Amino acid sequence: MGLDCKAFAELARGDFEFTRETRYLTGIIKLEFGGGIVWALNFHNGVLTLVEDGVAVSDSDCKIVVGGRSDQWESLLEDKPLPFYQCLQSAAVKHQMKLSDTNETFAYLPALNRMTTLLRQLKNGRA
Amino acid sequence: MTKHDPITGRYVYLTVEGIEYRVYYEEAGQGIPLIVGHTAGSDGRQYRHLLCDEEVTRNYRVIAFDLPYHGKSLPPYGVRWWEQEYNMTKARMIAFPNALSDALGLDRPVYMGSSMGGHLACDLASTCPERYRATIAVEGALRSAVEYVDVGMAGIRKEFDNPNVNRTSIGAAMMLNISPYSPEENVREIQWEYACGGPGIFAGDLLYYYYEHNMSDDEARAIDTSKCMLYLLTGEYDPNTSPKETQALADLVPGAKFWPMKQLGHFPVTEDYTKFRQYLLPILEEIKANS
Repeated sequence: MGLDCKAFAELARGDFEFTRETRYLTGIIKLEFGGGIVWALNFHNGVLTLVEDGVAVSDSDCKIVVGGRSDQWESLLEDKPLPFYQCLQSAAVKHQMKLSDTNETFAYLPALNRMTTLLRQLKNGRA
Repeated sequence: MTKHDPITGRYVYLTVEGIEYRVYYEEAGQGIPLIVGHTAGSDGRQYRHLLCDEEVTRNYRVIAFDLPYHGKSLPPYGVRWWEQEYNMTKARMIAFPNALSDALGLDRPVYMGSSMGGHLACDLASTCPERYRATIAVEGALRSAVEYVDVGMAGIRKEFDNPNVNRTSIGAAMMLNISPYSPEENVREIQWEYACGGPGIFAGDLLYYYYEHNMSDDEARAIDTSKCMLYLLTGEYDPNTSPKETQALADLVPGAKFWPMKQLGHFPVTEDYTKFRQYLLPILEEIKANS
């Protein structure tokens, strides 16, 4: 899909809603994009400190895990996605994308929604 | 010049299952009574655009009520509600609009509801057709989508009634139900309303939405649309009750009419009222012509 993790990190750190909705989060959000591309978003007390390659990071070391095949991500990140790719949760239930069910997953849903919006902006050249 | 919406609000006392409830409702317009019921965990604010639509209110008295424990309808005074888990049952869902209709002296109103209110429109047409001249199920079906039903109440409470999770997340979760074509202001308004709900209320409402509403094929076939016409409207982006689920119901109810709605989701009345009214107005015209 060609998403640039550094560009995402810069966008996320400058985004009011994303930084507000990740407040107090300490730990890793792992994003598996398919084709061996994995990002590990590292947070400390709400601050996104590092976005690194996450291939070697196990799910059990993460607070939240999101994943899918590259074609599923393509569908999710369309500007106007088809039903039911409107968000991670509907894509997980209806299209079998992977989404953890930890307390943090539910607690940080506002951040995950915003993250999806930022990824859409990046993919579609609107960032 | 001071600007007002043409909406007035009042409290009415309704007795249901032996408990007196102080119930808030808003209304606008005159003519055929149209009771509108909100979605699980939300309240009658969802209908503010409809209540301000002169094309509707010139012929219809629109009444939007907050179920007890929702919006401005507080939990019942004198009941130790904090000592029991809140759950919404089918019997109670049916009883509230009936009691409201009786209390306000309405003559065979129309009922329209969305989500759990949409399921209720089907249950009202089935169980008390003599009370309503028509019901309009917005996102109604025989039952909700199996992928969500299979989660179970324990899973539902983990997501929506969890002390580790801030209420903002309930609003955020509603994104799954919303069309990407909806104006962002409206999306945020839906999320705001959900973030304002009482503790455990959304989860408890889902007992009715996912489990207590479960209409059999035979019950659907027995709905008599000559007594109470059943109209069905479902948004294409609704994963909980998709057009496929509503079509299954429409295929069973003789005379029922169904329109899938393009570019709308589970909350069409609030998501994009300008789109929704294009489907609603012809239905209201037909009901008026048949009244």
